[in-house]
Amino acid sequence: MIAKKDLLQAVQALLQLEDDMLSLCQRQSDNPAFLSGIPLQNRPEVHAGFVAFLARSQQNKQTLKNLLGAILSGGSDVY
Amino acid sequence: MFTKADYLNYGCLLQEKEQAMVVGLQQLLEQVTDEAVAGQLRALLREKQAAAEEVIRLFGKMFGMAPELRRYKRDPALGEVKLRNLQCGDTITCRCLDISLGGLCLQLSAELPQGLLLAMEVRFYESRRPVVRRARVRWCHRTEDGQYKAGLQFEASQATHAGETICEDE
Repeated sequence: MIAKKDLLQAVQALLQLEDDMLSLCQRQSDNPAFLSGIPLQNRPEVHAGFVAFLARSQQNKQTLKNLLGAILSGGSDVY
Repeated sequence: MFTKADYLNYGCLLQEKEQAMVVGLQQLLEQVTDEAVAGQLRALLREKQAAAEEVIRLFGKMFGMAPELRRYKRDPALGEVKLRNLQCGDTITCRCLDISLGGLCLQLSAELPQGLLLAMEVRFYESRRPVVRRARVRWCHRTEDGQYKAGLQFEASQATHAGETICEDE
């Protein structure tokens, strides 16, 4: 069992981590030089992999936000 | 132009964050008893575990390294590695045979004691900028040709050691 405030704090920390990861991925996928050092034949797959990774990360961020909202509005003091 | 060192640093950073998420979720799941919240956390954990594996796969593609590389009998080398014993300051140079986001495999002429913490500088043959990391010796054994092979695991929070020099004269 965990107190509501501790759970909120922990989920908030996870959300921050996901945010860090998103900005890391975003920065590189926006950088046209990012694929420059990758063998030519692997570039499409790496690019597609990063696009998918980014999309999943955005989805996870939303899931964490929804979870945060649900806990905040929930009536229970312990979870 | 991005170098192997850039990709390694980037991959390690992503992997560290994914692992931190996995650990954070696992710790939280040990405490949460509410089934609805636990269910969402479990789904996220599965997602994060898959993401951590995806980072490793993507890293392999970035590097252009076949995962099967380590099965070759005659080991190709990726670059040169300088190691510094953090206890006594002794340095040695060896070859990097294989690398992953978690650590690397070295070929060297001397035995390394298990558990030893080392500062290391990897210079890939195809990159100019070195990768500086701290790593711990996980295993070391003698090979048929009289050399040694060692597996080193990167220490966490690598970023704090960026810029560390291996040899004082460099």
